[in-house]
Amino acid sequence: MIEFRRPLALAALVLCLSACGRGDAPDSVHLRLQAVADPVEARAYRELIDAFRTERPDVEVEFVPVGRHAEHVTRLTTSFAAGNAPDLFLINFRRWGQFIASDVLEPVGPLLRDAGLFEREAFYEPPLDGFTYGGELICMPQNVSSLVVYWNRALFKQYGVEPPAPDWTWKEFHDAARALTRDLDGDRRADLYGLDVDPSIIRLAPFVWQAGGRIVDDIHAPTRFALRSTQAVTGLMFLKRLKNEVGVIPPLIERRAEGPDARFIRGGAAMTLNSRRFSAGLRAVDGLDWDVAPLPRHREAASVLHADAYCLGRQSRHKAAARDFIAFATGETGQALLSASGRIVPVRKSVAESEAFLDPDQPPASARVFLDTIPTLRRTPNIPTWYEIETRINPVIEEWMFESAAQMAGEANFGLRDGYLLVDLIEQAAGGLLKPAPAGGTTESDS
Amino acid sequence: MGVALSFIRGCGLTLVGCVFVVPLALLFVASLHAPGSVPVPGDLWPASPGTRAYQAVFAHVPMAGAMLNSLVLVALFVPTAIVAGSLGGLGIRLMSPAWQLACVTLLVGAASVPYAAIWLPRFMAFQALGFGGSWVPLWAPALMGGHPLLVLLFYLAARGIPMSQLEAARLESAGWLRIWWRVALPQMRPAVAAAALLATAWCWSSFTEPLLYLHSERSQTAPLMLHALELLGASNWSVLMAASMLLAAPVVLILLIVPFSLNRSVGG
Repeated sequence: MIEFRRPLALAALVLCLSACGRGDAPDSVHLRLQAVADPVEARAYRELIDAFRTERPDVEVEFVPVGRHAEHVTRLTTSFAAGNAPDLFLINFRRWGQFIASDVLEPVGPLLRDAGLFEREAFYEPPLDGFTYGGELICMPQNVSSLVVYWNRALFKQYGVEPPAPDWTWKEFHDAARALTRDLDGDRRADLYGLDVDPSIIRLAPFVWQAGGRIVDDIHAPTRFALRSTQAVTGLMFLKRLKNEVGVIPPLIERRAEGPDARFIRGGAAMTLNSRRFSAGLRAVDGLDWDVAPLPRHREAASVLHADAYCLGRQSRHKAAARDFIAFATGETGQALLSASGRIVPVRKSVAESEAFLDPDQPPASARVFLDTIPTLRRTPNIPTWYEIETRINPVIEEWMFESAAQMAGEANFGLRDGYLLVDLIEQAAGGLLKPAPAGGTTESDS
Repeated sequence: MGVALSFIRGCGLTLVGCVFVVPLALLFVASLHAPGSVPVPGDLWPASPGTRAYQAVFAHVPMAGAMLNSLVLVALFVPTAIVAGSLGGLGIRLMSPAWQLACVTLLVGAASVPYAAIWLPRFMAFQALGFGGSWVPLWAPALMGGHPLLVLLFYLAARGIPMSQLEAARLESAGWLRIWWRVALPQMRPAVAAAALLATAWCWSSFTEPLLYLHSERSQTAPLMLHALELLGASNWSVLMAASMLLAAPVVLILLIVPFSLNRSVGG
């Protein structure tokens, strides 16, 4: 008898372990939605799911939050390979390209359109364009953020610096950053910096566009970087010049001790560049008087698209239910619920223009800046290899931006040659990843 | 002379211990900052220390449930790994020298395989078996001893048992399981303690496997919650530090307890 009990006990243990985490209702459609979400955001998604459940009690949506983008992508690629991918997932605009290449996505646009659930005019165009591939809307955007300037109102006031104007220029931005960079204890080192920023292609790109340059030769079917122009190099060098020649950005050693977000929150930097997501973190900080302003303009105004979208796995067995959830989440109710988290700029115009987003009781006071910036938004290419290109070139940009003082001295008179050096480094780092897209993309110009 | 040497040894160990305590102390101090503030470089002690960050951890994520899940997983994983690993180690010890060499080579080879090279086939295998979303894939490695290095550790410990003892027990008509339980395991206590320590640390801090296999938030483990908090950003670093402290505390406790038993077992 004992011989039989042990295997039975083992089987019972395995069954118990297998049961952990499962709780599907037998008669309802079960959808799985995976997204990168901090705890506050996760709560907003759960409220969204609960609201959807009241409309569609037959559909159960399981929310799977993931803490970081890298793990989100790892989990998605693994589960797609194993045939167990979530029905729906939210993905950032710059990271979705790799899923196009593996052909695992069911185009959401035609599904919504055929069901009469999609009116293009109701949404902002840049994110729709960003998630369109081969003429089809592949994933349905839920937000449309952009890079803006976060500025410390108290510091601007304390040092008598004019608040940023809606149409401020590189010169005014430079002057403000310079006026706000202060040595407060007389040790010949700045204690307050005018600006702090993470150097990456997504941060530099708007300055390239503002200077009249381009990132790639063709945004829809890029074959090479188009950074070898005076305009593009001028844009690439703008922030580095602010750091080296004007000294308004902290040097590397200080950045290692404290990143731009923490420095801005502490009041050690008067300005920083970030997307809408940063607003939610700042709302939690007591006593910080802050607001947002558009990026300064040069030859033209430009910012870079930050957006996330709902993508539908081709292998999902519940495409109709998933489509209905997407329609709900990007509808009036869903968008308003998510806006309350403070993390997103709604992609639906009516909600973005409403108090759900422009809440006068919540900072930033100039939340409309995010909406006013939308017409100037441009994007990086949505090719399968773009994310890998970014991960390769961002360390190169950081190293170039914060190279040693000795190198800085040697390159003080380099002028634009220093910018061309960065272009060389970017092209080398990207290697052969920037290749023509497969047939199906259009050939509009990036400029 | 012996007392002096013992004193010097004690001082040296304390000094080494202090070096490892410094990061933990910094972690603890950082966790005392209020949420919504950021630590100022150079200013270690917060102006108004408190436990609000710890409260925020439990308010933001279901950390209590996740820690309980992690504890249950450790409670399942570690004993299984010790039983399987010690049986494996003893089994190898009982083989001929040529087979012992082959097994040790195999174990070292298995320990050298990068995890990235096996996670996809393993994931697909468990999905095919219908264990996706469950704890089985997290527990299953324990059936193989937890990790090749643990089996190797038990094998090395088993080598210290005289073969004559094992053969004598066999002559007394003891079965192999009885020999393992009565003869081998008592003599492998230091290895058991070391293996338990290592298996607990690996299982408790495991991140990639729970990330890949666990879908439901109810079944998620504490490291996943820690990563969820990371996204709160710079204004909530103290919350992240508090969660890190909560995760580090049990391991530190075990680190304090196990060496004593290990020391006693060795006879130090």
